[in-house]
Amino acid sequence: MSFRPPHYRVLSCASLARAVYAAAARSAAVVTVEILEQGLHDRPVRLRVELQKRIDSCEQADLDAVLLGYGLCGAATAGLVAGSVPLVMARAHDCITLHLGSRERYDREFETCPGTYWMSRDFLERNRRGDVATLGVSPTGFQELCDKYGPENAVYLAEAMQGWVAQYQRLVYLEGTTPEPAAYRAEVQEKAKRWRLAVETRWSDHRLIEALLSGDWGQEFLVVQPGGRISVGDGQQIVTEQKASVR
Amino acid sequence: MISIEQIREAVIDGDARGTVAQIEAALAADVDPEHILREGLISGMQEVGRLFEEGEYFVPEMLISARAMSAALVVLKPRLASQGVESSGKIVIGTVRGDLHDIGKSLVVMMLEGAGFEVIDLGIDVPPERFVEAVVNDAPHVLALSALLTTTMMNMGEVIEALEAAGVRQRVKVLIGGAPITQTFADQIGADGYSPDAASAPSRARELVLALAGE
Repeated sequence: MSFRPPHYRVLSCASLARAVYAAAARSAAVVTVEILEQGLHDRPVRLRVELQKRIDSCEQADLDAVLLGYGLCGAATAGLVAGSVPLVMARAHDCITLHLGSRERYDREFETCPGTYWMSRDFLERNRRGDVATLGVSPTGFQELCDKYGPENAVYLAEAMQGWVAQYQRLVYLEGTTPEPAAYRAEVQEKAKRWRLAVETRWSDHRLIEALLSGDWGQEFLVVQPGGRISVGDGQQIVTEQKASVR
Repeated sequence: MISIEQIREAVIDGDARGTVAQIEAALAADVDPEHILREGLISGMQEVGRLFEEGEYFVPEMLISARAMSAALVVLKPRLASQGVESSGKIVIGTVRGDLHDIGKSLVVMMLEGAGFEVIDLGIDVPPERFVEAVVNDAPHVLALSALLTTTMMNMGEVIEALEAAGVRQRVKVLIGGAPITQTFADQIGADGYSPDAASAPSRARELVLALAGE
């Protein structure tokens, strides 16, 4: 075969799984997908170590780039070093920008209501860590807290861990581009009711993920050259490259 | 027999009732309140911090230990005040504009209070001008800024710029922290210090109080 399409490996959070698989199927490139568990950003250092390990173990000889299905994500991606091929990511704070399609759209939503709890189909289907809104404290989780720390401390911990939900005003569900089971809508309504949040929906726009997996890396992307390191950029850039030669 | 070690153990175990009961008994037996604070509470929290750094303790363990210490301080503080025990320094703290999260910040507050600091907590979503106002009016040694999100951590730089614009930057040391914060970021925005976690905050704050005194 004389024509050789580019070969990419994408390391992505499960929160973007459906969009990443769909974009991989549509891409003109040959894309290998690796999905990591959702919620690892809770411990940014661990997520960074895990991603770096996977970047370093990309031994595929014909690989042209490693792509990140992540934003800055609690600064977990800051510090990652590109291996023998470029490392590419969208200039985004987190997966919400990648679901909304642009930083500007995310900024508008954040300015309108910083107290927004975002949810998507991937979250409902793939989350194994309990609701972030309650830091995993479910009714059965509460019993575990009681057993481990005693009833008084369990009540305190449950209140402390769920306290920040009281500061939030709305739950926004990111509707996918394909039909979704009606049960999902009911589940979202039930969660919002439990946390006393208003429910809103937004259409997902996965253009950044499509562009990332298609090799269409314009101004909205950071392309780190081999040996270069991702670091936190200023407000506009979000992420920037620290070149290997200046480290 | 009252044992300071039992107070220390109760803090490490996150046993609020036990800590308070032990302290009341110790005070009734005329044990020096400052000795209880330093060898019981602060020493206990230092051990909690060590266990956290080693990965043996997680946030829930830190929270219940800090809660035990806070409950103990309610009993101990009036006795310390009547003895004229000096505070380790004054700290104004808050979560920066746009950020509504306060678990980490509240934990830091408890750790700092336990280490003998006077802490003024401005709460969450605090605009830069409110921090400046507190620096002018309350004259803290340290201004501590917290952020959980990378979206809002950029607002820490705004606070430092606002301090400079108001001409009060030199009056205070700025300490920053939160999940996405790194030393590199602290250097980028011109903060004086960075604490990687709540357990390290008291020692970092102490260093900054000393640095300010030395200027």
